[in-house]
Amino acid sequence: MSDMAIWTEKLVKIYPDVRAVDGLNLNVPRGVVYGFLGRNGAGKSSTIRILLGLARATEGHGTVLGFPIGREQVAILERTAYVSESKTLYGNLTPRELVRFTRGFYPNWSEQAVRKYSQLLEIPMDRHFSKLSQGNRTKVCLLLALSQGADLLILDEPATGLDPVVLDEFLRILVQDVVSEGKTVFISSHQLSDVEQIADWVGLIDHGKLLLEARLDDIKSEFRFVTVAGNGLPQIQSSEVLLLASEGSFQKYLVKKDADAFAAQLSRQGATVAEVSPMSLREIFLALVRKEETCTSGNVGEIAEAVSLPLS
Amino acid sequence: MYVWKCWRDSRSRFVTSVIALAALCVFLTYMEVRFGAGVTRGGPPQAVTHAWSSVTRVVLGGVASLFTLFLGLLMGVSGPGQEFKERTAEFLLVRPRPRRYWVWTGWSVGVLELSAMVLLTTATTFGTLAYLTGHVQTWRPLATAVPVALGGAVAYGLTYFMTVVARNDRQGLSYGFGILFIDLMLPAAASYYRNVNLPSVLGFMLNACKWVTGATPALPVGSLVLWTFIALALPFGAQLVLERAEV
Repeated sequence: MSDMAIWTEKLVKIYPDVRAVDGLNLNVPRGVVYGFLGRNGAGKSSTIRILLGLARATEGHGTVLGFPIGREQVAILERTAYVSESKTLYGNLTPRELVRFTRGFYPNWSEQAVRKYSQLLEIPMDRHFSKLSQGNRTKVCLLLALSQGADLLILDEPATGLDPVVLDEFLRILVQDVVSEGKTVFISSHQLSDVEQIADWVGLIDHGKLLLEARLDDIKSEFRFVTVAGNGLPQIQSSEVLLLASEGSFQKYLVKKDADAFAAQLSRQGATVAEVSPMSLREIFLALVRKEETCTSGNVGEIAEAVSLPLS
Repeated sequence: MYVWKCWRDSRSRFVTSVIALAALCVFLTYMEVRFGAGVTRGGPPQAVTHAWSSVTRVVLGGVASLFTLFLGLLMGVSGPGQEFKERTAEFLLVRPRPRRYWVWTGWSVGVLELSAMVLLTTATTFGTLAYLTGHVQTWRPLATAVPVALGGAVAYGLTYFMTVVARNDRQGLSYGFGILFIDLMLPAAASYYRNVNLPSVLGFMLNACKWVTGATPALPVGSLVLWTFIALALPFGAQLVLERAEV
């Protein structure tokens, strides 16, 4: 599994009041930008905490950069940069002092990167962290992460407080400076539009379950909504059908592959196909996370199990 | 790195404490020599010896020991336990070091500061005493620093451990104070009402200082071992707790 930057199998995390992660199977290839998408409380941060050894998995196992989670945590942390959702650092230290504190831990630390990104992101290096705005705090966290020379960047809601210009600059840095060097970026977010700009892969998580894991290009080129009319439509069992929603007299199928063939199959079985339409990531995300409200019949594919398209 | 940060966070408190403790000891030494023992510079040897003994017992064994216990308790709120309260634990614990590194590094910095504080205070006290009496003692008075620093390390470790357990500096300090108060009161009550000797850190510090002055002939080796063990067991306990802690 060392060809994967992150790999987990049946990862479970149960807190006293909630099952935060529920049988998560993640496959994050190396050298890609992976968007880990989900609503607030979907289990994204809990998953990240397990990967970084901040929390222990109740069940399941996995690796980060080939090192087993929980057993070789120091090796993982040496090669992984992390920006937390809270972005809380030492308030009494300035960014310059935070750099001084952090650099000694990482053999691949780059002072050149510190100079470059502190100028590029316009970070006030001599003001106490507690006195910085939310956006500048985020920038400092990103600066520390980018300067570590890590093989894997795990960014939990990295866009918090960033203005559009800085956000755009940051996304450009990720693509041009990080991924181009063969490093992996794992971005957890509920801001789909930001992630959609740069992600190669996406994983959609809700209620601790991975609903979908696929290449973004495949999603854009293959995933379709097939809208059909008619009553008593055939029950179709297929792993290619992710979702069935009912809207009045119309049924909408979310099909991940060969939508035209699927529509033709429905037609042969007596349905009237009204539309086969492409979908944006946002539409797929909304359709999948709202499945509980919209699913009306049982001919849905294995929605509980994550859908994973093969690497091509 | 972390040593630098621990020192940076505590240096002003360290300097203030050293000055306060040394000034207190110099003042008390002066009072004890001039008004307690009534010794003047170049006074009779018997009176000088008495002054040295009483200063060691009262100033170092009593006041400085209590002050060091109190300072140790206060200083123990530093370290990884405090990071949870300040919500910086997530940042710290994803640095590539085993968790025991944070516990022992933070603890070591605190114990070194405490030891330096006690040593400086002891040296200042006996320097003052030598100046006032015109008589210089050999190494033995400086040995007073060992039990005083060890007692301080126990108090420091107690708050340090409780702060990690409670994940909160104020709660850790409260628990530390509570436990130390019980450790002072319970042995006193047991000794008074039942004639039973229970270990007490302050009692150990006093007894060890008495040995230095020659008032107690035997070095309290058993107590020394016991309190050294406790001083080391507390950060080890903190390590065990932190290694199992989830953020």
